Amino acid sequence: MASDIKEQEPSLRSDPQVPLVAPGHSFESISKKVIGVVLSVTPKGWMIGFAISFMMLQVLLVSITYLLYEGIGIWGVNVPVGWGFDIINFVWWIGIGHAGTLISAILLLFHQTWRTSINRFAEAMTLFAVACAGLYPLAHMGRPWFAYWLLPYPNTMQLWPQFRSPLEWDVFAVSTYFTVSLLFWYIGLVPDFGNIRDRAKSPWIRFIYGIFALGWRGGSMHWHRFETAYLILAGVSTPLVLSVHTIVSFDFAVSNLPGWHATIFPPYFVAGAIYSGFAMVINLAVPIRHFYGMKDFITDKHLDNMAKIMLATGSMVFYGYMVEAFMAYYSANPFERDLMMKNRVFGPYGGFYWALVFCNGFVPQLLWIKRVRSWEAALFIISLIVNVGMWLERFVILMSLQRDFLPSSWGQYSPTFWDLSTYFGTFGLFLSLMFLFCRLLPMIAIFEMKHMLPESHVHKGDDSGHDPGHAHAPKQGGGHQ
Amino acid sequence: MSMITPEVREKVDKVQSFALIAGVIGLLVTGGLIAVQPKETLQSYLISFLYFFSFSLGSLALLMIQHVAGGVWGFAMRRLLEAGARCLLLLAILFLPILLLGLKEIYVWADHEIAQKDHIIELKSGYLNVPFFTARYFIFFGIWSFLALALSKLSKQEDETAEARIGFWFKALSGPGIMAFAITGGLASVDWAMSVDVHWYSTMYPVLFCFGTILSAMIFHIVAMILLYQGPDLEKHLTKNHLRDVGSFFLGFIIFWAYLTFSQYLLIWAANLKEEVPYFLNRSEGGWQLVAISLGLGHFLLPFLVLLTRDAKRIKGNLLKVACFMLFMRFVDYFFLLGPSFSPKHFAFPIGQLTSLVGIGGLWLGCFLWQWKSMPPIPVRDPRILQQPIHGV
Repeated sequence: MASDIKEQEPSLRSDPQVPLVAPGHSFESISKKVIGVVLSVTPKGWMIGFAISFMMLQVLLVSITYLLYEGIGIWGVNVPVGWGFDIINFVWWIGIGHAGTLISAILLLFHQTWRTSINRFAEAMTLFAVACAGLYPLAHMGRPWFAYWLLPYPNTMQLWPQFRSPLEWDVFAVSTYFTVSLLFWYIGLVPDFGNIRDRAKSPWIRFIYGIFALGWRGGSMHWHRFETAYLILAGVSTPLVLSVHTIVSFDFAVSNLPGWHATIFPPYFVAGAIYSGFAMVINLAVPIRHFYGMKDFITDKHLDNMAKIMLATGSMVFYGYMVEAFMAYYSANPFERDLMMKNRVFGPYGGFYWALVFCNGFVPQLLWIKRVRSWEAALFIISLIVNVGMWLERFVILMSLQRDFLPSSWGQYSPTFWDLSTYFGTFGLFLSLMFLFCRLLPMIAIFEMKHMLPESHVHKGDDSGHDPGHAHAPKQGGGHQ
Repeated sequence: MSMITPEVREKVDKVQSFALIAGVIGLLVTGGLIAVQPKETLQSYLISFLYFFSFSLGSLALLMIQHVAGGVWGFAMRRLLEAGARCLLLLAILFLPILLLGLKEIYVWADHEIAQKDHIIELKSGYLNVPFFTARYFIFFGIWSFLALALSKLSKQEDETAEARIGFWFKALSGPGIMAFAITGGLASVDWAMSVDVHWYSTMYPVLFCFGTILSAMIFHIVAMILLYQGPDLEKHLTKNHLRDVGSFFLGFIIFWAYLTFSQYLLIWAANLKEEVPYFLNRSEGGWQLVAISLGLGHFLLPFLVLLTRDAKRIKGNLLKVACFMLFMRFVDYFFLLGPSFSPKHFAFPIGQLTSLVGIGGLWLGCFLWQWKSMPPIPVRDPRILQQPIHGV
């Protein structure tokens, strides 16, 4: 019976058997391909790309230097809009990081094997995005050299942080997030560092990668400890996917301000973060596939799955907008109603609101169509639009500040040159780090990719209920370094 | 080819008859109580209705989610979900007492005299008025019944013909269906539950309500699978790995429920606004605070700690115990959702609560079992029949 059902099955039924590595690869060819990028001569394209990113980074350095010299008066923030580009871009960059954590932790726990080829650079993206994000609150302090005052430590100044403020929670949320993400990324890299060390010809390269490999030999005890550590870190990272952006949403929602004080903010911010994060992963994966010839590893199936996650989370975000609009009416609260109609929808920044609805409401709905999901160029453009949309979302939320309860204190906001240059500069930081990562580290987890090959599944179909914590997964890969 | 063993079938038949008889008696007694104390009884009836409604609407949502997302867990649960979703038609009928007898007893805004004097209700009257409320009832149940019946019909066709396009239609219906579920489920939560506290509003409420239905359904179907999947044909679709998968969902969902509930509480507590905070003040005095604490402990902490262990998820008896306990806690959650709104700052458990629970519950369970038996328990032409849960990193 089973066999004739299989023959009758239409191709449209869900079929997880679609290979996640193109056919024809062996343990050896995967190592060669991925490590080849690290150990080969620097390509010209990389030099040009890195040079441009590095120049953009200089814009950031100049902007921050001038900021430290002159103070945050050089930005467009004012009364009543006390937070401007700094918090918009902080939230935007933090949000982008979320896809990396989701891919590394939650998809691992959910046995989503397709995460394998994209997890490494998505995790790198997380770290670099959090680095960009972290700059903004530090810069906004005005005196970043006193940043440690935010930490609760005994001191002679009678100084203790205000724990009722979500901004203080942010300090812990973001620093924990960065630390755990870094650890997770590094632990995952250790076996691959060992692999590079063993393949490197130059003694210097062997020495440097050898230090980072922490004496990795690929013995069974090493694998056992590695897997245990990796799973524990995945467990620790999972709540972080929710917690970080939840606390970022509290930055707004704890304030008693129409448009900010909305109970839906936590889940809706988290969905938005994952949504923009996946858009950024697609924006990075598409060029990496082309320039490094990684189409065999980052397949169309990967893009398709990421597009589906984008569609799901994008729809959740749009649902959030609809709930907000409906509740503004339903609340019968004049401030909520006026905010929605006279500020957001038909206000001075109404154009941004409608652009937001277009970018996050309508454009991702194209992803229902299978042809769009498998069309690389379209996916790339949609992802760009999504990232613009998510930036607009934070901008629209911020502009709730512009008209508060007293019309006499209403004001306007527009960014200055320095706001724009700082934002532009963070792209330089992000891209420079990304370029360095692609050049110096294996951008795809080699040993995990090996597990995707059929020869890694010699006893597949075993239903003995073995423990994933002691799964046979990457051991074979390790033996073939 | 019958996959249900004769012993199980016999037991199911017995339970079904017993449930239907208990249901009819429960509803008759409830009807009598409505004549004596209409307000309390109809209010309790609404709580009981929402509790069982959550199983059916959640079944529909999970059914559509598994059609779109795939996953072996969905295959094992599919026929149970379909049966649960079809019970929405029964629930449409069971809502009629509220619509015909209870509007003024339950909803302040439905009472013209009070509504006219209240400025806030007046401002909401474009949405909260009896004709529009009734129209929405028809629209909601129309959409849900259409989805439940259409997906079941496709399922039947799949069994008979194995036609290639059926897989496409499952997805084509379920994708937009999930969106329709989120919108109609969210609006229904405002209509039936949130508008009881007519001045109060929370944007999290629709999300929490929709998710609550999914949580209820997941728990109910875990219990149903463990009790009903007996005999060699069915047990192979409920191995330890299947159980672990649904157990993990169970754990994840409980955490997410706690996350949503706590976020809503924290934001309203911290803001301390006079139009929002009474909702929680009503729930923190006169005995209700004990219900709140029991929810924190029993609906989150205890199952969370138990389900963290592997054996609680993989061993049938253990998972069954946790799930049965959580079925009770789900009721406590619905009771806490509206009970304090009907009896602020003073704990009350009217007798009508019990009779309506038996009444609606009996009929619902009888209907569910009848529907479950009406189709083969496993969709044999679903391609996932060839898969086993993937375990391993």
